[in-house]
Amino acid sequence: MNTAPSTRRAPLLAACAALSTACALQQPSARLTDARLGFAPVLAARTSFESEAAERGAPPADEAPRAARGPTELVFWTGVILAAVGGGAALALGTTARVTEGKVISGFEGDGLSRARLDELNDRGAGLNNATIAVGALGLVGAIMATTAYGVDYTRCGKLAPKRRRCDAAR
Amino acid sequence: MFASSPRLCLSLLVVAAGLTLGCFRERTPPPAFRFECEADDECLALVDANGDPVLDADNNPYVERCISGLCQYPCAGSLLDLLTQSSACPAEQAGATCFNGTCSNLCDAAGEVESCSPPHRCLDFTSFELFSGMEADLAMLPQERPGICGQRCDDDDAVPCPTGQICLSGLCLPLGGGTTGDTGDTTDTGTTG
Repeated sequence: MNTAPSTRRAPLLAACAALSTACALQQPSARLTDARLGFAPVLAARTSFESEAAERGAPPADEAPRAARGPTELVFWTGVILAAVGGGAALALGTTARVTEGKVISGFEGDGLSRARLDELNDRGAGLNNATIAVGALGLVGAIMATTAYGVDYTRCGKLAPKRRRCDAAR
Repeated sequence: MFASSPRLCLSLLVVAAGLTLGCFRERTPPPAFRFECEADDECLALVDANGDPVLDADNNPYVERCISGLCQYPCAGSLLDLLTQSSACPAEQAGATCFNGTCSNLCDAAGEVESCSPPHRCLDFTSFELFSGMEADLAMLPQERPGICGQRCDDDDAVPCPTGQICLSGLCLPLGGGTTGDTGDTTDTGTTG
């Protein structure tokens, strides 16, 4: 009958199948998978390049932007400090300038003023104006630095802008 | 984006406030203001916009002198010059007229802000007998209660009236009743009331 040859071939096919799947059966134990992508085993499985990199302890390729977080945060906080110090100093100097101007006005309006005193107040006021502009510019630079760094960090899913984007899904 | 960074917003706010507030502006002295002084050398000659000295009718420069602790232009006219529109005071000093030996400016006695430099004060014209019955004319002036910065000549610390004038009810008036109009020395043989 025709069934005799197929019966004889069965052990041979089983042996071939076992040999051909042997590597595959051993492979899962060595490969890393992403648990978040468990629903799609094909996507969850990493390439051999990724697996080797993970075994070496190197960061995965998709985490490269996170490596720049340090400098970004440094720039951000430097900018914040500059903006705060510059802004505070500008406010203090500006207030002093206004007080100086008030002394001139009150001198004109009944308190009395000599020419020497007026010159002194005008010189002081001009100096305070220059100082205010200088520290104000410093504060502005700081604010720009902080804003830029914050924006960069926001784009890169950094620590400075948490919970604003689904950054976890991108990692 | 900025909502999660209040420190950044605060910093920007502080910088903006500082730049807005931090502005000293040089002020021009009001017309009635007189600088304080202790000696004549602290006072200056009047110059025009080009820095050239302003000359009076006799081609003499207008030079301030330290009178009553204030830099003032001496004059030999009287308040009557105001009525005749013939002031010997520098035209550059808007509204200045000769009053009790010095060039003085008009002021508003009803003003809340003191526009005269102490020891000057705003003397209401109606406080002088000379102007009694002239309320209608005074009402034509822009001030609510028109007055003039200065001191009554019968005040204790007042400077003497210019030569040829006597002090009547706090006002230096020429003995002859006319107007003078020349600048002169106010500190010598004047007569106080």
